[in-house]
Amino acid sequence: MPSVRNSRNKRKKNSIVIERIAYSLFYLFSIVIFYLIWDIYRKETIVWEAIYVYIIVYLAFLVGFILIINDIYNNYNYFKNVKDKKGTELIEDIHFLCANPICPRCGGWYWGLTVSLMITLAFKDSVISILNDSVLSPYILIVLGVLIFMITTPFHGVLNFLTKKNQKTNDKLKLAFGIISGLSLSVIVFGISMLLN
Amino acid sequence: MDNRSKQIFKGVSLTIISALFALFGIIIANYQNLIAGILIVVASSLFWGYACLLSEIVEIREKRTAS
Repeated sequence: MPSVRNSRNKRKKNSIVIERIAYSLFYLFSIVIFYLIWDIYRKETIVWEAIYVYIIVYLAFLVGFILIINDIYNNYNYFKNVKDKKGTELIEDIHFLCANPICPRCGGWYWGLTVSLMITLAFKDSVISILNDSVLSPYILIVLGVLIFMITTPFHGVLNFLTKKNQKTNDKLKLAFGIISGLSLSVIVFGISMLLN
Repeated sequence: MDNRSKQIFKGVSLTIISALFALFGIIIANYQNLIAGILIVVASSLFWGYACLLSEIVEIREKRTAS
């Protein structure tokens, strides 16, 4: 019977970069969710609804993760079987979590997300107090955020193949759309914050 | 559903799921724990990153089918 140690080393050697990144992100998410659940559980008053939400979110992530790993290997095996060098290299040497703000693939999404996080953390209370004084309903903010997201997302890295346009045109426009797409999340968060307050 | 439609459906689903997890992360950062929220936003990039990869895979497969 082959040694367990050898088979584990063989799997590590043959694993592709994206698989390792996917596992790392999954472990990271698992640790965070378990910490959040423990943080709520150790309080004097346990909010069970929050724990149930975290468990559901974790299960959703787990299912998504398994489907992604499965899909990666289906595509990888397809490219290897048809001996497509470009496709095989694409999956083997994937670039992920791109820090390049003008990356034609990722667009400005990560920038938009980062700025969204900063805006909501820094200005949430001020924006909400201003919006509370106005007649703007929180539902309008949420719908607006969703619409901005749906309109801008097809035009940058992720889904631009849907528009069937030349992928190489106007990276700056893609970057702008990516940032707006990420920023739309801050609009949605402001709407949700108004509802929660 | 043909292959292209399936890939498009996957890309759209992954984009929306990634945005939902990122939203969840931003809310957690604001209301419960800052670092946990930021890490959830980072973890949500799994879906975004794969959606980006999928768009390139679709391109390569379509070029292959066309040739």
